[in-house]
Amino acid sequence: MVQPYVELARASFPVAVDPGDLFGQAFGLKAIPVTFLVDEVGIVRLSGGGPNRELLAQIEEILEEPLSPVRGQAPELPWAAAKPDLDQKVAEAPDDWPSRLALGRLLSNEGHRADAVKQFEAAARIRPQESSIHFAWGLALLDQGDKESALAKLKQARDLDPSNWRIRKQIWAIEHPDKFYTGKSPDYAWQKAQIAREKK
Amino acid sequence: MKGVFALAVMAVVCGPALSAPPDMISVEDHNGTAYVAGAELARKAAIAIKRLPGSDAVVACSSERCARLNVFFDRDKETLVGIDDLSRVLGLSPRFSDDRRQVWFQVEARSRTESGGPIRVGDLAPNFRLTRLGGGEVALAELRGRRVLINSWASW
Repeated sequence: MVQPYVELARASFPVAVDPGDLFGQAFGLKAIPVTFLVDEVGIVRLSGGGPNRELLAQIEEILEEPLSPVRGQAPELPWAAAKPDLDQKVAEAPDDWPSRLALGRLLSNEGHRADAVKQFEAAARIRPQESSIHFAWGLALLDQGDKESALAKLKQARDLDPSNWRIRKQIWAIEHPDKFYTGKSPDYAWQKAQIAREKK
Repeated sequence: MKGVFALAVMAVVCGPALSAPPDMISVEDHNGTAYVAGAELARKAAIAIKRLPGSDAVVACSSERCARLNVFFDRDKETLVGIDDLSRVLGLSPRFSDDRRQVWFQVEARSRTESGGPIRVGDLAPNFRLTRLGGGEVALAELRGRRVLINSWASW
């Protein structure tokens, strides 16, 4: 699904796919597109929307700095853990919902959607008001081809995190595919109008 | 008499390694406040001092955490940071030389905090590992030492 867009943009940099929303959760994304610059130490120095002149100027400023010899360690967040570690965590502490959520995402990324859903179900039982659990669950159902259940889950996620525009966009893409997947690019004018409609 | 090939075998005694004395950093005094220079902190204490473009904020990052600084000033192309402020925000204990003209920083043990919130500018970026289109994986932790531009988008 992503391949045609990459070819269209003639991208010359590595492209990673994230069906389980691992990156989205790790970086707390509420809207996309989004750009981050991580420096040689590992510090997030910039974040912004799509590339624009001001962002590019700031990026250039940072690139001109002398390289620091310091190397920061990446914080250990549940969603960065490897599967064996998550399996162990979940076995030792069944109420550890962040690890269950991370495990579900990993399983989803690997294509084991039924197993992923089991983890999401368990996580939701422990923490029913957590939007990110329902979002990840909805994405897994979507991958399984179950649009109706996916929509229900995604709407639940949306209602628990009303300012999260990524969830809303995913719902629109399912309910209004004509506004997204026909023609050369998504109908951004329609999206703008929809944002205004939903902000009320 | 035939030459005797005397081979002296020296027994090499390996004792416990003496820990190297910590690198001392020069202290500068300005208006009664003790400062150290950013470049020395990077070289000798593995602490990075970085500006956040688009604001006046300055962060200090050790290998395990980052925090905003409150006491600092710029001189030429150098940033000088207040020792007490730096120590407080990064959980360090400053150890001064007798004449107080040099200092090194001892890391205090700290309780593990469960950090689950979204990543903000000035934080250490968390690791993630994703599959690359065309095969293979990419992990952010393996790119430490390089500046990485990440653009996140979707087909919608």
